Amino acid sequence: MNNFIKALYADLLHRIDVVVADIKGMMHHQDIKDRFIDDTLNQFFSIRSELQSALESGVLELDIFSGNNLYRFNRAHREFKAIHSYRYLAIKNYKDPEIFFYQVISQIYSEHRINALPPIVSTISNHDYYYWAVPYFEIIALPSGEEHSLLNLPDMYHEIGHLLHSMFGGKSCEISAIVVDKHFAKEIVRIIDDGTATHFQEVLELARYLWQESWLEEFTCDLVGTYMTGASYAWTNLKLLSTGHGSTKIFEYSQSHPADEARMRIIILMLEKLGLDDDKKKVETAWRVFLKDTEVFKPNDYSLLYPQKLLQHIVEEFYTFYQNADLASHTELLNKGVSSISCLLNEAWSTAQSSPSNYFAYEIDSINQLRANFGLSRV
Amino acid sequence: MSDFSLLYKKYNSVSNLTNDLNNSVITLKRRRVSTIKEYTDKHPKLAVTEDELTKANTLLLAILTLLENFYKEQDTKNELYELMDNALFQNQILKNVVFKSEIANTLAKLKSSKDLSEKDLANIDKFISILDNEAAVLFRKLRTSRG
Repeated sequence: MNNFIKALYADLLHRIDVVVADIKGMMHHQDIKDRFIDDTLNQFFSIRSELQSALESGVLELDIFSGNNLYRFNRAHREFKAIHSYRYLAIKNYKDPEIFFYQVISQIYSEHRINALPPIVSTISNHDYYYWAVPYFEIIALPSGEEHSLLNLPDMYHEIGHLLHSMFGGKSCEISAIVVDKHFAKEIVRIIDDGTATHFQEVLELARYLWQESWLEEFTCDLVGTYMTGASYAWTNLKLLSTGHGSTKIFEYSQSHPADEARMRIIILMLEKLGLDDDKKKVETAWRVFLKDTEVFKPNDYSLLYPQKLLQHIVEEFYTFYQNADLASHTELLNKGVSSISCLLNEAWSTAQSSPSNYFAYEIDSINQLRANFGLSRV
Repeated sequence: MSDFSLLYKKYNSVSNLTNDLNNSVITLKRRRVSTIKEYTDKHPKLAVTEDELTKANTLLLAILTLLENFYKEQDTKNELYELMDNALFQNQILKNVVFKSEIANTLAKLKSSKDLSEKDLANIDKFISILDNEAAVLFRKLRTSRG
């Protein structure tokens, strides 16, 4: 067994060396040349050094360590695969769309005064898995081909929201987290007293857990999207939930995401907070029509899960935190009259709705204009 | 807006817990074998420092306390709550009365700074194997999540 485990270690060390040599032998674009490449190499080196020191320590020679050596290998192997699949793949795939998106995200960071290095944006996702972000890997992944479209792009701000949530250590909703938890603790006591625990306790316990586990973060990411891009985020969200989930599913929640209905409500609350009254009215009108067909599918216990007062509390805390952190909102950019990515996205949504037959030409022109601003060739 | 971010967060949490526990057990085992001349002559680097030993005991105490607390109350804020859906964790750890009592003994030894026995370490190894299994499950889901 020991020889077999030593073979596994040797194999992984060799794989690391091959990938590292490949990265070192490539010509890298200046966007990723220093930080991203160096960090990726360091992550591979860190795995390598752990395996090498285990080999040198002698623990691989003794049976008493067999299981532990195998668990260590399993973790190292998973870490290797993760870095290989996400960072190394993003490096190999760093082409024209990635160069374009790095310019876009750098401009977004600058416009909203986000005091951090922008992540790499890679088109290594697909339409099933859509947009995703992993702060640890400093990557936002978008579906391939996304560089030709504007109407999904507000969702990139949602992913930026995940990075900001990690950067701020969840502080933009830390009081809300306590308020939400207390609310559910109280509700659980109430239904026990009411004698309705058989019906509702399980769902309330689960909701209490999921709010802290993932829902609160998702809500704050929706707020980042709305705070930074106004109504365009609301339209993109409506597009996603109508095309992706279907009208009958808006009250369904998952381990990772709160129900779409509640997400739309918090987005509308943020539009109101930003003073975007006309936009809010238009979004709400469309949303009401959408809701009219779906109310019949609303589950009985749904009203317990996302009380309006909790959503309002989250919006207030988030807005104050972002203002204090001096992060520019869409309203601020709008009032300054400067051309910004968020203004472009709002214009795109207005054009698509008011003049759909001209939208194709508009979108191509807008993207080419953006590319020209970045010094990139036309598509 | 995919499940990827959450899954990665969960994976990372379980994986780090597994690693902390595993490295601590390796340190304690190294301490045991480094008293045997036959081994140290062949592998002088097996020896561990007092600092490494203290760190290992502190980590073991913290993680086994997590488990003890989880036996008392399956609190959603406990890091081990991630494992609630894992059948091995349910059957081999949570519902296993013998294991529960043995872990309580191990924890008592750690609290009173007594050396752990081979049996204690074997029990912790069993817990590590279940954590490693959960990390593997989450990692597989992570890959599936990307399509």
